[in-house]
Amino acid sequence: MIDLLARWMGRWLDRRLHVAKFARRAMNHVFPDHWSFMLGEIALYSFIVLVVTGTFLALFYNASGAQVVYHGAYRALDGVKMSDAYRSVLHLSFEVPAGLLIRQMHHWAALIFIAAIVAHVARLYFTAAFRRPREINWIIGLTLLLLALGNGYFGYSLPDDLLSGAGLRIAYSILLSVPVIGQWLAFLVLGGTVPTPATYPHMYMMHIFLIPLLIFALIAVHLAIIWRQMHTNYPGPGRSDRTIVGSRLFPSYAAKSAGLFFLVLSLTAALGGLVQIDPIWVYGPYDPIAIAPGAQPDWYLGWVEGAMRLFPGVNVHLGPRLIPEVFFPAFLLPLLVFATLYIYPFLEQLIAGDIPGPNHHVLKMPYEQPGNTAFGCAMFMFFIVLFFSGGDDVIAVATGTSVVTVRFFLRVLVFAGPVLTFFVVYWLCAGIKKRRARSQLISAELVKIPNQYPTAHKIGGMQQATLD
Amino acid sequence: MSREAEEPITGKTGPGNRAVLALLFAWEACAFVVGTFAGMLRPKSLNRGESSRGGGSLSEAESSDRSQDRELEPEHDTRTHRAWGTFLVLWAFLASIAGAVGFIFTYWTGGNNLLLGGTLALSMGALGVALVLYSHWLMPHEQATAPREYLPSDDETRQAVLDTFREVEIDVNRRSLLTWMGVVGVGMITAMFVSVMRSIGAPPGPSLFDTVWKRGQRLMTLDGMPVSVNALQPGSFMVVFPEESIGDEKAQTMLIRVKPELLELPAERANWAPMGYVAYSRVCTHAGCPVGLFETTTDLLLCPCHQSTFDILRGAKPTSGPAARPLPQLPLYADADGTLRAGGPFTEPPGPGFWSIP
Repeated sequence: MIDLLARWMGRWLDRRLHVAKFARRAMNHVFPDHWSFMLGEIALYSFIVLVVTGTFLALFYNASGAQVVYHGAYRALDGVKMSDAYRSVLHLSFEVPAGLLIRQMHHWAALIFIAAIVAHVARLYFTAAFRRPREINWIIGLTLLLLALGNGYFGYSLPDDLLSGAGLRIAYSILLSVPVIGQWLAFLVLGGTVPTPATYPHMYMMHIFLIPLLIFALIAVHLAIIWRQMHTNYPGPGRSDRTIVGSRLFPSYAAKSAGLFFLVLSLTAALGGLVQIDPIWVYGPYDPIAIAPGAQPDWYLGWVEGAMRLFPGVNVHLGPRLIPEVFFPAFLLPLLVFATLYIYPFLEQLIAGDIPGPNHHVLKMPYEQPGNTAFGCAMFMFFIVLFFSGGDDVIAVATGTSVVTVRFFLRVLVFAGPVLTFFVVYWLCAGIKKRRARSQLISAELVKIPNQYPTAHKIGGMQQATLD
Repeated sequence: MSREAEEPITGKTGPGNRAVLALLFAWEACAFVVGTFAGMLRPKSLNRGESSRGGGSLSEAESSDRSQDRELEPEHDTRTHRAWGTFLVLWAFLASIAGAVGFIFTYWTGGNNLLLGGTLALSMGALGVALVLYSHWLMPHEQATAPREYLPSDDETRQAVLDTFREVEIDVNRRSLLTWMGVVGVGMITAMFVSVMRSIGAPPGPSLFDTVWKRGQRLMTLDGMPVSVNALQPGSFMVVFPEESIGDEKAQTMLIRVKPELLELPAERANWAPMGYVAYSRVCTHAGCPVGLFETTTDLLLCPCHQSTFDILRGAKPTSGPAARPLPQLPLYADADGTLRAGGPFTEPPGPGFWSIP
């Protein structure tokens, strides 16, 4: 019965769209089997969760800064003045059936989305997957990361609670600090001097329409390019720049990938249902007079927060003009970080003397490229120190020292840490590389592999296959 | 009444529910482990490593017949293996159905958030596990090798594209007037769209330079009470506003009383602090947070956002942390009734710095 139906449907479609030819090729498309190739998929699937849950939330959220007095199900805030945006989120959380679940799933999915992208970028970086011909997709991927960070921030700010309101004011001062265009930038993005009634419609439109649309479009291009260029392969038997080894799309890979989708959905549901996140009723509505000590942003902006805390209080005067201190750690630094990441594939080509060169489809293991790996680890160390600097007050309280002392140590560590990391990792990688090369040379002689595998990693893969 | 009791939806659950939750958690953990490592559970003999279904040689790989590959894998059809696979997948599908039924039931009976999340996670997780198990146990397992497409096109095609393009290019170059008109047209259309941004609202500017206070304005508390010279003891503080804009974010001001002999204000501000009262903007010059913490022992104002400190005895100069500019000071005087009044505006526009600030 199903067979007949499929036959009929297939014929119907093929007659109109000529799909069988493509379907045949698509089903045979080879995807490598490796867990690290699933990171991007996890990001993709959490984006789907975000769109679905976000659509539900948009039905209840009201992007309005108008002041109202609360009389709802959450009695602890009864009679409190708040913005209508905050009231609508309270209504969603306490009165709409499954509203809280969907809202918490949305927040968790956003954190997983960004975490998965970061992990994905790290995987690509440490295995040198960004090399020719994949520079375009590297750039698209980084743009997706930027958009995801921005949208995460807007989403975090929409409920207009005490924490997000304070965060919004910081974001305003960062935008305002940009030389020449700062005022206009703050005006365009946040609707003027925060808090202003225009802020919520501005952020809402960007959060639910403009940025998701861009993300969607870029994901489509990203996937199309992956399809065109095919995946990379880890080094191993049969893997070369001219072949790809893995399982075919249909049915094996499709089933596994669909399974992963439901597992990601399950994870967000479990977190959204069982682990509380962003309990805005505990923080209370935004009040420009109230202070919220110990406030931290969501994890992915912790490094910017840390940089803002560590950067010394220096004003730069250009004649009668001022570049405020906030500009350097909170705008220029992220700009430089992303600029470095954007041009990294081209830098690497320069350094490795890979211009002009062939297309690379076989990945490198991290130890095979000590310079690249060491630089990446140093960068991660830099981010980690900055992330912890974002909680310098928390560290000071926990260790019983003063913030000034903690800040001094972190200021030293933020430079010393990465430099030290670079040298240690370089030394480790170079050591492993040397040792592997030597042992492979010996085993290659023992196993007597014919001389058709010229490079070290291929001999390594072959040797493994033989021992199995 | 505790807060927990007031949260009907998010609140804690009874012991019965807790047991269910523990079960759900345990199941989730199992699901993830099984889902992730299902491949490793397969008996070793069934793991067939390299069988190049796509054919070893590159030319025939893409067109190879799939049915041949199945024949390469006889051991895959061993009875026990299939039975086990079917049993596991069946079990996972059943769990998924149970989760969905549980979710629907919970939802229609007035949804506890924990149970809703748990049952949703159960049904989705079990479905995911079912699919992964299906793929690992019941589908043919092979490693396919396929050729990669050589990405650059051949020279002939590239040349053809280039030639076609060049024909038009030459034509366009010859008619430079038309080209320029086109460029100007595109520019004007862009300007047209950009200019519509004016509709978004009044441009910023003047409001950023506003120094808020005017001479003679009384200092008011948030409740709207004027502040007299007896309001504070040395070493204490309060938040004040100009009488016309109580509660305004930009106008919020820290009023602190210290012992007058400790003050080391600049000479021109010497008479700004009657009876040891000093007033500074409460909006941090670093990132705009309220500088709301006062350390009595050190006479420092502390911003809770990024830990900048300001010395109130010396015109609120920053002493540590990321802030670079002092908090704007408000000149004060006491009138004949002993009420504190502003002696003029803030020394600078309050709030974070920007490009054209003086």
